[in-house]
Amino acid sequence: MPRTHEILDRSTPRDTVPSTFLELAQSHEEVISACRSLATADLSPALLRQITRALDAHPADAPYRIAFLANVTSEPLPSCVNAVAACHGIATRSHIGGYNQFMQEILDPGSALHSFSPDLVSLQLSLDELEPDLARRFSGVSEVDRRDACGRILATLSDTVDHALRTTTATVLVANFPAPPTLQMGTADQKEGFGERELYLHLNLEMLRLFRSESRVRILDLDRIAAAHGTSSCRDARLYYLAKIPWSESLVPRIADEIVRHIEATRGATKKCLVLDLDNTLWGGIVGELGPEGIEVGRDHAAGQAFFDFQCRVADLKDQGVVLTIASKNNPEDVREAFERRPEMPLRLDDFVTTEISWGMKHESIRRIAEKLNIGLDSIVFVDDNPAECELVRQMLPEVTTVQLPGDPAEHVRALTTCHGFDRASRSTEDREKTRQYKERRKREDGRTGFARVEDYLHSLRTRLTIRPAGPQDRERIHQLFSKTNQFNVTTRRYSLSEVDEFLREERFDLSIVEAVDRFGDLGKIGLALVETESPERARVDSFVLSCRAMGRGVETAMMNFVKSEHLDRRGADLLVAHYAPTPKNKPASGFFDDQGFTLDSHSENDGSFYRLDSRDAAAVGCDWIRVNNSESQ
Amino acid sequence: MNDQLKRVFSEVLEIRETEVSPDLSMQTARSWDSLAQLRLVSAIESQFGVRFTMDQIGKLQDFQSFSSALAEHPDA
Repeated sequence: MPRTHEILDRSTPRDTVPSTFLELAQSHEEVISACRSLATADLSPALLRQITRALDAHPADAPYRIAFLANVTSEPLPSCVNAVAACHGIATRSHIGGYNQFMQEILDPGSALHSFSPDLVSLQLSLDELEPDLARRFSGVSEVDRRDACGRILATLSDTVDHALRTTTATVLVANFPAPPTLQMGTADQKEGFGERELYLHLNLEMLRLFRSESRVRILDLDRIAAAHGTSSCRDARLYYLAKIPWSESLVPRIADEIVRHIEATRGATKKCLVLDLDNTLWGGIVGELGPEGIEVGRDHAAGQAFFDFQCRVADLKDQGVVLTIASKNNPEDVREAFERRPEMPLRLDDFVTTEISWGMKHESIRRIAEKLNIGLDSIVFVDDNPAECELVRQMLPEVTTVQLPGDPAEHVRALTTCHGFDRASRSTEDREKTRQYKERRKREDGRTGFARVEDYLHSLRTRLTIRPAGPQDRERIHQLFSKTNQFNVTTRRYSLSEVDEFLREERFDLSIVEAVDRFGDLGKIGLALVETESPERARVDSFVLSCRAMGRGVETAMMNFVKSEHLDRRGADLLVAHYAPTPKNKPASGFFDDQGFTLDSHSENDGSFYRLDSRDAAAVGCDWIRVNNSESQ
Repeated sequence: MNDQLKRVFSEVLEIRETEVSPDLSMQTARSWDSLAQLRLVSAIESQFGVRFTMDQIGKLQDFQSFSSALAEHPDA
């Protein structure tokens, strides 16, 4: 059978293509692959039937097993769930419990339910059957009896769920109760003690509380699904009277969609990463043409506000643990500028763990992102407004979930939120920390993978240092470096602010401060060297401090090269002396002066090691992966 | 209209169009059970823009009765 991308023609409507493939499918995998390219939001009944036929003809080997238990007719929901699940790449099989026999099936160890051995038990109990009077003769039931009835319903649910938890290993998905479109007591209901509206609110709220802490129980929020669909079109009374089918044909796919979301969440198939386009996705317009001031995003006009809201939703996904990345055809400089010069945007460049900003093919960018983050393509959602880019990615990387934005920014948030994949069973603290963790791992692993030699890695960091005489504007940071740095600190002298002021003021002290930038960003002021000119011939390294975030890449060597040339060449000293005073924490600095070519003068257990370096022996130590700007001014 | 109706029957009941004869009924077609009956009704309703009453649905048990119900329907 030909593969999708060999046959797909741009001009072919999307939904007719899969139906051809469904008919041609020779295996379950091919059925699933044809289904995956369908947008499930508007599956027509005819297409649903076709998928069901194809799935029946090619059943899966190891499907996810769903048992439907109800006190009404379950069909046609199960076959619809199978079809919608297939559209999301999940093979399912369903068991339909006997009409209104949910308790017997659960309690009887020999029942068809138990031999089916479900992964998920869907429990839908209709209020019509549980408490017929509440659904039909509401005003005739006293307030006390209404409360009692509510208690009975909750007890039935609780018992049934408890038994199901005990007798199966399945997750139990229990439906709540959709409020009716009209109230039996009409406008008077709100003044009623425990009126119909209150009863539904109470039931659904109590259900939420009853099962919240039980991880194997999930609530199918029929109340919300029905409301979203329109409560008055949720039921086809003819179907109910003829066959006890509680839902209209149009509601069934909505319920199936929600069930599939829960299946995805419980199976942990949550998408990990969002790959975002920029122009006309995160902001309106093309930044390369309009410039950072010209792009539309912000709260002062319609389109800008729509993009603003879209960014907020993306930022919210990040807070739920979704890792954000960019795949954009742009100049990296333009993008950086856009984020820098439009600080009103909810997203910062910093929110993205990695970016692919180039003129290359998008599917290649996405593949690189997957490799960099070490995640599967199937845990990626790609969002773009450009139909051609979306089509390319759909064809080249069918495992990736592609969300094509409709082009009208007003509809973008909806397109993102109706997309499956970000549903999770519950949110953990760790989820909120995901971006930070990925970023740190990315930075660490960047070096380990792909670099044969450590020098190559150090080169790739593109560290740039500015070493300059410290000034009054640095005094706070200098004080902080003196008092907080423990590891790379050769003498660990804790100087006060007034002593710092003295170093800045007195001619004989040379206090240099070091700033660093690398490809990941600005590291700030990360080190200092304090050298005292004791006589025209002799200079002494009093303190030499490097913050731990800049350790391990040769910054200290570049700093010492600077000190050597400053004092032994420029100022003309003959001798540079230094002291390493060991502390329980400054081991990282212990061999430093030896490495820099100093000679050990004396050593004692208590005082540590004293070093000397004669100007005729002095040479710079190589660290050509670091670029240094020596600046006298500032 | 009958050709269109035959297509719906063939698709919903999963039989060839040539098998859809006027006397095809719930008794003769194996795939025509009570749920298939409701699927047929839904499919025909949306295809032809009509709506049958509950009473009609109960009586539409063969191809011929669907065909005449459709012919008599004011919206069809």
